[in-house]
Amino acid sequence: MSKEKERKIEEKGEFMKKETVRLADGRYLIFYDFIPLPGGKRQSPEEGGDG
Amino acid sequence: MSELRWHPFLEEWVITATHRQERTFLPPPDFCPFCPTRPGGFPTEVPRDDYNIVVFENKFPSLQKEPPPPAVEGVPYSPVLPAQGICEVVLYSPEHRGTLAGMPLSRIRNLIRVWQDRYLELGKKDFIKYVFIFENKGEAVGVTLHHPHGQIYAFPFIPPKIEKELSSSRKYFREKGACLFCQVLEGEVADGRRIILEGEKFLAFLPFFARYPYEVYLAPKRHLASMAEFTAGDCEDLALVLKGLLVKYDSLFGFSFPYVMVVHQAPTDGESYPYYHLHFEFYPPYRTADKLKYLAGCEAGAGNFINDTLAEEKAAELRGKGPRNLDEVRALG
Repeated sequence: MSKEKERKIEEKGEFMKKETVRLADGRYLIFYDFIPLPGGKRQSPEEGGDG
Repeated sequence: MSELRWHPFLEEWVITATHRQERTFLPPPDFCPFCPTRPGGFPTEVPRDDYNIVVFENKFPSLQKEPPPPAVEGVPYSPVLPAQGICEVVLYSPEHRGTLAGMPLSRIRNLIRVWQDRYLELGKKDFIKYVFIFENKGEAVGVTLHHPHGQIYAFPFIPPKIEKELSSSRKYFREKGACLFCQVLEGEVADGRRIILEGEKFLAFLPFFARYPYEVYLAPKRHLASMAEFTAGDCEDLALVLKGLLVKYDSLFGFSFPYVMVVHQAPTDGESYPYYHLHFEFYPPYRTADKLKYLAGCEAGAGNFINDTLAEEKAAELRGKGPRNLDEVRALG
C-alpha cells in the first residue's frame, strides 16, 4: 500500500480531509474524515453556503 | 470477461462481467472483507479502522477504468464495446453492524458530502457520462455483504432509465416551460395525502404513480439538477429527512427494512440539463410484513408494473410510523 496524496477541503467550521492510498493490486482507496476546526462552528442550515 | 453488448430491441447496453460470479457471497461476520484489517487477522479491503467514511474501487467491478478488450466480436445488429467505467464501494462506517437508518445524523451528513465529492470527481473524467449512486440493503434485494455500504457506478453512457426521465423532462420543459419534477412536487404538496416527511429544503413522498407499495421519492423542494449544487444547509436537511424516512421504514414491520435506494441526477457528459431535477428513489421489495413484491411476468416481461396497493393508503401507513417530524428525527441523534 502506498500513500498517494492528501488534501483538505475547507468548509466553514470543518475540514473534509481526503487521503488516497493505493492498494497492492493497484486499486485506489480514499479515506474521508471530517475534522472540526479549532474554535470553528458548523454552518447552520439557515446560513446556506457552498457545500 | 467483460464487455458491453448492444441490445438491438431495447436499444440499450447490456454489461457482461463474468468475473463477478466469483465475488464474496454472504461471508460470516468474522470474515467480512469490508471490516478493517485486524492485527493478526486476514487482510481485508480496508487497512485502517480510524476513518469516518471510506471509498474504494470495487474488487469485482462491472465497469473498469482500463477494461480488457471484448471477449467476443460484435455482430451487425449488436455491436460490442469494452466495459469502460469505474465502480466504487462506499463504506458508511468501520463497524460491521448497523444500517444507514441507525447512523448518527452527523455521519449521514458526511456521507452526503462524500456523495457530492464523488459525483464531482468522477464526473470530471472525460469517459464518464453518468455517476450513479445507490445502495442495495438486505438479502431480499440481493445484498451479498452485510457491512453497511453503498455503491457508485460511473457509466460511460447515460443509463436507459435516466435517458427516459431526461426525455420526458425535456419534452415537458419545451411544452410547458417548467420542470416536470417541480410540478409533481407542487401537486404532492397541494394534495398532501402522500407526503411522508417534510424538511425545510427536502420532501419525501410516496408518488401518485408509485409502482411499489412503499416506493418513496425524496427530492429538494427547490430546483436542483445535481449534488454539485448542494449547500451545507442542503446536506443538513437531506440528512434529517433521509434518516427520518429510513427509521420510518424500519418501524413499519418491526424489522430492518430492505430497499434499493438510487439517486437520479444530471449526467456529467458536459451537456446542460436545466429541466432535470435531482431526486432519490426507494424501491422496498416488501408489500406486507411477510410478502415480497416480485418483478414477475408483467413487470419483467412487459415492463408494466402492477401495484396491488393504493399510494394514499400506504403513505398514511408509513407516515404514521416512526418519527412524526424533524424534531423527533433530531432527537434520535
